[in-house]
Amino acid sequence: MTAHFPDKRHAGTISGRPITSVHASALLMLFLFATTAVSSLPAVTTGGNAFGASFDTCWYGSIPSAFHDDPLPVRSHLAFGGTVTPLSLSVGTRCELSLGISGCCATRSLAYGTTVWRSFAAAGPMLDLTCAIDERFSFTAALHLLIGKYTQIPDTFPMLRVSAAAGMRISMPQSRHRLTLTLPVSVDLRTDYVSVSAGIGLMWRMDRVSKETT
Amino acid sequence: MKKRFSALLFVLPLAASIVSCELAWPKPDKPTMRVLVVALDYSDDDDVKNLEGTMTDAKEVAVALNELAGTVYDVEMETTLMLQGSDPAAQGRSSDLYPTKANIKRQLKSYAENPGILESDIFVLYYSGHGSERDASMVAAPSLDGDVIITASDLSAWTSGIPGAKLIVMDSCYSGQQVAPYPQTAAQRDDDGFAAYDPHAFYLTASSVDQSSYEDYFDDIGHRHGYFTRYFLEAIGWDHCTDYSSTLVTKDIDITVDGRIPDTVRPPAATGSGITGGNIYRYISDVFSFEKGWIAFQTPQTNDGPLDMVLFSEQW
Repeated sequence: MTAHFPDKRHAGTISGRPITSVHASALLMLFLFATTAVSSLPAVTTGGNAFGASFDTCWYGSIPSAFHDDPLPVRSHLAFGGTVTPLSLSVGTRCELSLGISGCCATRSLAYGTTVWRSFAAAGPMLDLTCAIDERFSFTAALHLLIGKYTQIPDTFPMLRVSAAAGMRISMPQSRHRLTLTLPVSVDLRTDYVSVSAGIGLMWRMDRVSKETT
Repeated sequence: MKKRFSALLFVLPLAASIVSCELAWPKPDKPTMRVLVVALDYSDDDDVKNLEGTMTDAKEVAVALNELAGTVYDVEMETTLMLQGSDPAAQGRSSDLYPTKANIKRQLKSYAENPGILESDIFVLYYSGHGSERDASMVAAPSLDGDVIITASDLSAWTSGIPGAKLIVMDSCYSGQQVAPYPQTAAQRDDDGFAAYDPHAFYLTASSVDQSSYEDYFDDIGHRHGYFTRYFLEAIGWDHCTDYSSTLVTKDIDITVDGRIPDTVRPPAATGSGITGGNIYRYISDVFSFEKGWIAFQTPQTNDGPLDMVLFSEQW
């Protein structure tokens, strides 16, 4: 039987079950865990809303699927990412919901033998929930809907990123500017393979009103 | 408790990454490269239009790849040429290397059946000749049975059994039909239409599935080339100078061309560790897009997906 080769321009068209429907229950569990885990902690009001940005750098591991027939279980890249969150709203007395734009880029992987995994960049909207554990430490769970593009070739791909980060505030407690050192980890879900990452970052948030502690 | 959890959230993936990464795994063997160059000018085929740049394409590509292997990257390379045309280097009709369909099939099958070719090796097929939109990736030399058409399926079937990484380079019309589509989704991976996908096969083609590819006389270098091959050579560092000549000695024929790979200049497609198929594709596409404005008429193609092939590396 002659194999059908579709027009190259359409070779990247995505079909099949959307990623979100496959992992919706897992995402719901993640958010429920994030909020219930800190629900019994002492109250610290965050006042009104805020805006901010973050940046991180990390080790990025692409996990080849079986059909890639890769000699390694993980291919290693260096990645950089950031978010801009123009809107952050208080949720309860200890949590903050933020909406913004997320972007990331990964270098090509380390070469191994005769193969290397391509570099890519991705961007899209994100939603995160940050909850203060105490005056200093916090936990952030986030969801990013990204469109990625390999830097060498014209085709694009969708990607769902689920991330979590432990944070340690390094700015003064009463300052409107909150600078937090973060340790983010994430899982990137694509239709053809999965990736994981772990790194270090900085998150800045500025409160639009003064913060009060009770 | 929460702080320990947070630390664990970071430490476990990082530890897994260190154990699994390219630096921890045993280094693969240095590949041996095998190159098959097939080119036809159709000067002895009355049914097909003659091409005037294909012989030059083939000889310079063969010599350039061998110079890269020998003088720059210190890699063992075996080259076989199958040439049909008016060039003195071309094989005669009686030769097993005269590029009829049967001979090309036999030659490709010989690589698949060679026990000395390893999974760590590299095979490169370079083709310069005609292609047809009616599922004809290659138009071979005439033979007694009159069958000259090599389809994309034929070529995929003949090369699929060759161990190791395979780079298929085609400077011919409609050559994009040779690029096997990448199965992005689970449904596509179950679809027979994507059955030709081979994670070890990589492609560089001169045009898309419905475009012609062109050749021309280039004043700045003083001879003809396919547009794609001209910039393929440039990407891998070939210097079209007449002050130097370079020679390739094979088992069957010896060829000498003007030009060289300067060992003091980094090839444009080379990055930190070597030359990849994706970087060659990027270089040619950028020239076509931003310097020549040809991209709408002739759009080079390569394979989709995350995998790229390392053609030469200083780290082997």
